[in-house]
Amino acid sequence: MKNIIHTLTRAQMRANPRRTLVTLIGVILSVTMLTAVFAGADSFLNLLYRQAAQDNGTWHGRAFETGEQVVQNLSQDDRVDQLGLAAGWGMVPLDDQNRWGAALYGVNQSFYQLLGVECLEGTLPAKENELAITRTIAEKTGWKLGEQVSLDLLRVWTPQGMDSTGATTYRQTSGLGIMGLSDSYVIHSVGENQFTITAIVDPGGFDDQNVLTWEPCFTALEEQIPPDGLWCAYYTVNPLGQELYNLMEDIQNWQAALPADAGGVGTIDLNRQLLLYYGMDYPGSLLLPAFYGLMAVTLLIILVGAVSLARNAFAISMSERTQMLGMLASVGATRAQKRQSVLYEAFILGLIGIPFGLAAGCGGMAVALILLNQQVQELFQFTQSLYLSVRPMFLVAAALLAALTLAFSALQPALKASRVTPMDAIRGEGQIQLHSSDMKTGKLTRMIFGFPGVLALKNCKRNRGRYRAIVFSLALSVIVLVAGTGLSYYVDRAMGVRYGAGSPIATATITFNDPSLDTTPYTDELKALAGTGEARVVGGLQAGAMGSFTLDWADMSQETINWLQSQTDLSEEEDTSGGSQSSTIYPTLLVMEDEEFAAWAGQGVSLNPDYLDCVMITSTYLNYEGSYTQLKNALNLRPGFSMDFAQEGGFADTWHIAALAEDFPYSGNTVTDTSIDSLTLQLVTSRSVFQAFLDRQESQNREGAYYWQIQYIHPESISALTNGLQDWSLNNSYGLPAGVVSAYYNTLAMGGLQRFGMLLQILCVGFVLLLCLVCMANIHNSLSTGMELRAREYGILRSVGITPADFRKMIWLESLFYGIKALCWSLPLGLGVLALEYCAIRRAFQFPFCLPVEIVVLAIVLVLGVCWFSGLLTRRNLAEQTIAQAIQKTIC
Amino acid sequence: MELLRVEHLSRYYGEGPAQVKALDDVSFSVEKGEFVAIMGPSGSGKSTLMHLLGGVDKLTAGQVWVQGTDLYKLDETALAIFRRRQIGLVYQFYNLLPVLNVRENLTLPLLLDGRNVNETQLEQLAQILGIQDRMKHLPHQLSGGQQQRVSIGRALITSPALLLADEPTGNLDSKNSGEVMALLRYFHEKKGQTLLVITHDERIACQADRLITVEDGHIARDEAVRP
Ligand SMILES: Nc1ncnc2c1ncn2[C@@H]1O[C@H](COP(=O)(O)OP(=O)(O)OP(=O)(O)O)[C@@H](O)[C@H]1O
Ligand SMILES: [Mg+2]
Repeated sequence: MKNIIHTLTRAQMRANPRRTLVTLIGVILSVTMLTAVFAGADSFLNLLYRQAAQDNGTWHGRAFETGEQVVQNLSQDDRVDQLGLAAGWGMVPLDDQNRWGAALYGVNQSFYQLLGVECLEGTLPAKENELAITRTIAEKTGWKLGEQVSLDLLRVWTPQGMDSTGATTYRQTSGLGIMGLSDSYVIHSVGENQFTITAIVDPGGFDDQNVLTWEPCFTALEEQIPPDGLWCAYYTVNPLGQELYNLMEDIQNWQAALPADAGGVGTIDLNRQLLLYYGMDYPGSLLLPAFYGLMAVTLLIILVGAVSLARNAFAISMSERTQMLGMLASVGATRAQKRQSVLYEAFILGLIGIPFGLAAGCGGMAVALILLNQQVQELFQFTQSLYLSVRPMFLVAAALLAALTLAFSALQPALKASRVTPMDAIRGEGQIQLHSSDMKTGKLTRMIFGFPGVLALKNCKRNRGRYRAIVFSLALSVIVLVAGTGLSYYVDRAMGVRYGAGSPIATATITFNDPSLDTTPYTDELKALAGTGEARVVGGLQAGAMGSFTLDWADMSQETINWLQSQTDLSEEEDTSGGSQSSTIYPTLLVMEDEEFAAWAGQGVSLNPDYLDCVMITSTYLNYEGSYTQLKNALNLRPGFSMDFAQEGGFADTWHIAALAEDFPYSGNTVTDTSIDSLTLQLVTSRSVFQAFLDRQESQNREGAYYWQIQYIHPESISALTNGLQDWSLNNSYGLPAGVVSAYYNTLAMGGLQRFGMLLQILCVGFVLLLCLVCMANIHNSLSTGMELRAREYGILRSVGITPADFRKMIWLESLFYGIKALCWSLPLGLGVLALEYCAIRRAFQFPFCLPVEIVVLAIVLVLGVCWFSGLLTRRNLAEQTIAQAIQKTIC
Repeated sequence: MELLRVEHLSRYYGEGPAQVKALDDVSFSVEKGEFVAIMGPSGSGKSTLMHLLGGVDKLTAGQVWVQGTDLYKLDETALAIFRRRQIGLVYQFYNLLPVLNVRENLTLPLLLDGRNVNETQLEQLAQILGIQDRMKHLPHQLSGGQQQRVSIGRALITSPALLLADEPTGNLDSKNSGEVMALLRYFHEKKGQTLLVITHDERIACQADRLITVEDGHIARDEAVRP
């Protein structure tokens, strides 16, 4: 038999499709938000997994450089699913000075799989005496596929410590992780063997990531490998779970029984980053709990919004059906039947809404992840890219949580429905009961916004629960936004004090001592590296290369003198300031390309190439034992000031100040690591003036150190660039051309604080976006359902004579009040947090307090924008119907 | 003095064969201080007429003058302002805004007008309405009769030229109904308020000066009521 309540409910939903759609959208949005959190979290874990699989391989745990006994135990252990083995055979120096070479391992098939060893050319060794070498070895030695090579293999022990008798102890090494062959090593020969090269491989996860010392090469794991070598065992366990930890413990015990110089001290660890994907980590580690905690907090906050959204949707469709419920009650429907009506509606809406919500959440996250990819890659220095990847388990969890949310949200309206009496239906009750105390509004509202403002605020407050939920979420968005981006703002400022703002990702510096040398080929080579992207060339002279001079304190700012004095106070034993009242100044010179210099210095500055004509930077960044300070106008030197210098065995010339500039043109080594009583003076000049200087030095047969530096500002591909720089520095390590003193590169790995700031920023932005979506949905839902439900009220209001302008103002203010209220609470709090953050950072980095006005403005604009936009959607639906229609609407 | 004049007033709903002529070519006028009752069978167009007189509906044809102002020549804003100053409307039920308390509901037209409330006048009115101790309550805390008295008070607070009431007692029992009618008669007799009241109740119609009977969108009879 058909259930009459269900039939009625369906009919009711069909009868007002617009109302049903609004409710459905509310449900879908709630599910979308929940899904987005799950999808985002799992995609991130998946990224970690893929990156770990690429960097390390797909093994779960390993015993690195262990003994044969451990390997034997492992191969008999039935917890182990797959076991990849590499038996260290020995090392072969491939360079005259024994700086690098090959480390040979006999490996099995599982090893290739678990470590992601990729065959680039040829076929992987299947028999003994077949050999796979890396591309680097092939390039450095010129060995070809099919070539027969003879390897004179050595086994090496490195000094480890001292025993109780004072004798040196040693531990064996299989090759990875040590540099060259030192005289302090104990080296045994294990004989010469013939191999045929059958493959060129990428060693995958079996690699020292950045240094070329001992490149691995592989042969088949056969009997002929001399005993007592080191083994590397990589395993997966099945099923993955607690047994992994037990196994690891067992390996530890097995290994402990071995002598220290024969595998007893090998590394036993887990492929942690990969295991996180399976929800596993070292016991006692807080990483996963922190991750899940973050997820839970996010979910919780979203749940507050989602529940209020869904509950309201149901409450409204219920109150609209008060008539029907009252009629049902009058013909004798039981409470359960009335309750069922709302629950059945929730069920139908869930049935339609959850699949849509899951799809929308995944879709939205997919787009968001693509947008976040670049930043996440930079942040973690990942080569794998971030994209949507959700396990069904997580989707099921999202769906379940969504279903729970809906059920929970429908519960209260359902209970209310069960209490509807015929009388309520006649009197049109069923709306949320109002309390006089909630409906109080201050005089201030009336004064600022007029009577429409009062009406709007009362309308906002009529649904107290939702009003609070929206205000809370909006306020939270503001606090998170201000505190989160504020922190990274201060971190950036602090880093600006430390490195100068916008530091390059990497730099490569070549120092020359021959002024006659044509240096362009060197810089051109660096500019042509793969993945370079945007880069610039700067040059210069280091502090000291231009000598030094003494400056009276009279010519320094009071702030500078105070600073110098405070520094001397810190080291009283060396009282140099005594009566001298002067300090030593070391000029340093930065050279910019002519066009860049012109653009930076401006039209007014023209330099005279007859001497070292420069612009002086008036702000000085100082570092004294980890405390960073910025001084402005420290030295009272004016344009026209000049000074000769002549370094013994170095350059000699005259420098001259042509103009002043407040800030350094771009970041670089601008911080002076000061000794107690000295300061640096930063000068900037153009390339042509510097070239003229070099020409003068050449004609005087002078030699001295100067450098050119490539600054990679926005690399196209960090990994490609890093590889290129590695090769470049490797090539240079075989000897530098005449006239070149040194060549090195730096990747300015972001400081911990800066990374943290950036991570925080990404998280905050994502979080705030989600919150804003929840709020937007809530406000829109609240307004649009209000519009429909309150059609008669608005009709009355219009019939009493509210002008269209005032009416629009009321609706507009209603949406805006959520934001205004939220800002009232959250801005002071957010600013308080900002101040705390500033105080915390100021302990290490001194810079004047500055309010990140743009962030505060952004927060205000965001919140009001969210409100305004939500209202806009609603207002579009308004108008049309006449007052008479509106008034009659709810009567029948 | 003529206060209200209606000429060739028509209101049609829909188009083609399904068209409903709710009101068809109606003309009449009302003098200042008159108490007019409007009666007629259900669906005859009484409410439609009242909406048109109150300037809250769109007309199909015709003109409505209130105190010499052609209502449907005014733009929306001017009409709204005219309405809140010169016309009071009372419906059968739900006349009050649930978020406003009695006092605010009562003074709503003044508040919308940005005018100050004359406290003594308000107190007097509350006394007449018999709700002086209910001023801080929300509408749902009042009885139906009290609610209806508040809506009449609201309609009269600006001393409008015209009070239009659509079955003001339709929802009330005879005791409350009597109180509401007494109130309307009080304002008619003591203050010379012009009243147009739609009703199904003969006893109420008898209290009026004049009875207009509407039938099928036309004025069927327009006669003076003998006391
Ligand atoms: N929005 C509308 N669309 C179509 N027809 C309408 C509409 N509103 C009213 N009508 C029709 O206009 C006619 C007059 O309606 P009206 O509400 O004025 O009647 P009434 O005299 O007030 O009746 P009652 O005494 O029952 O309140 C009716 O036939 C009604 O069906
Ligand atoms: Mg009617």
